[in-house]
Amino acid sequence: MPILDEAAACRYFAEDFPAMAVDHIWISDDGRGALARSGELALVLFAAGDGYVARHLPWDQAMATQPRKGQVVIPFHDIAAPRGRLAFATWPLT
Amino acid sequence: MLHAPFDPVTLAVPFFVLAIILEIALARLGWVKTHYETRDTLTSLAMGLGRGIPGALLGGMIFAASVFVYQHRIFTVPFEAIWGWVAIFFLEDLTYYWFHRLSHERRFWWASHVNHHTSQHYNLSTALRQTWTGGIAGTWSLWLPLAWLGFSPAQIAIQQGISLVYQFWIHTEAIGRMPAWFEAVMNTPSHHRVHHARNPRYLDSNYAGILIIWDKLFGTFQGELDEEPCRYGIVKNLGDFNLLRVAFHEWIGIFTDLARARSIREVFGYVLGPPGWSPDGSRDTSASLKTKWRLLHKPTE
Repeated sequence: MPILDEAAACRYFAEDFPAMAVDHIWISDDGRGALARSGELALVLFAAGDGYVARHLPWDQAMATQPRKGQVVIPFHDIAAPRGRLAFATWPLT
Repeated sequence: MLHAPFDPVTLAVPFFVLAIILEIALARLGWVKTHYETRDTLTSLAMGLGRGIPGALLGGMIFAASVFVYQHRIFTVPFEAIWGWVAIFFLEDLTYYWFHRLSHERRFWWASHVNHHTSQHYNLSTALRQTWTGGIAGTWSLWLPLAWLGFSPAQIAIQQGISLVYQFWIHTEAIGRMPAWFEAVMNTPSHHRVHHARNPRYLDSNYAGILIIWDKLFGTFQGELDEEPCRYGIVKNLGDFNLLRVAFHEWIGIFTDLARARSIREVFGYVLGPPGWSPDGSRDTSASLKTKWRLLHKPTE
């Protein structure tokens, strides 16, 4: 699975959220996920197998997630993808 | 004849297995373009194997319904007649087209069919990622008119099996384009890649089983474009490989939405509307995604 860089993450976000402008992107520490801010929304990209899954949620809700051992597990309230796991040692993102 | 003397799908299982092994081997050698991911492939195989359980539970009821309708048929098509096989080839394929279109364009039936599209890969194992809830969804009833016309349940079952076996080999990236005459008439890997793509431009197209002519006839054909490589999966991909999630996530989504429905209109919309329908239009449907895509890609004057 290719490690994400900012350009690749931007491509994925553009595919899943074509109408949303990305203000800033953070690549996860292991390069297997990313989080972007789009206004008041957090756009989340996380790995499933060797593919990526994208979801969005309110920015404040994403930042309120409690990290554990360098992992952030973001809940989506979506039966198709209940949570996304991202490796961020520093959290919340600023 | 009521019972089919053979089942094309059962006969083809060894071929399915060998073809998947061959595709993996050729990919490892770098001879063909295809991608396999272990958990993804295992999920597809498990969905294919698990399909037999609901099939066994509901198969008798579906067979009984076919026999009942056949007993009230208006003609009798002799099982041995060549013209009967030619006729059922076209009629079954036309039925499949509408079954498949319904399975994509109305949420109740999409809930049953969606699992076939949940892989982010497109390889021969994807073909085996079959529904567990087709019997409950009732789409089998679409084939009952064939029994009413006079085709025996055995003949219908065999032709359905032939169609399913045909559709196996088109689930591959290893084959680019077939000869032009073949692409014009038959469903091919290229046409079916488009069907499995989640690119907005490609959504809700190429519903064909064996013949692509139905899509051309009913306006749902979309050719594969070199400038737009297919991205596989569903609009909102699944977060993991949990089999129960693969099989039932859209059904759970329907029940969750129904629990908060505030009117009959909303009940109908959530169940029989297009996938993604919502009362306030806040969710995306294939149509809204296509519209947004067109607006973003509108040529500037």
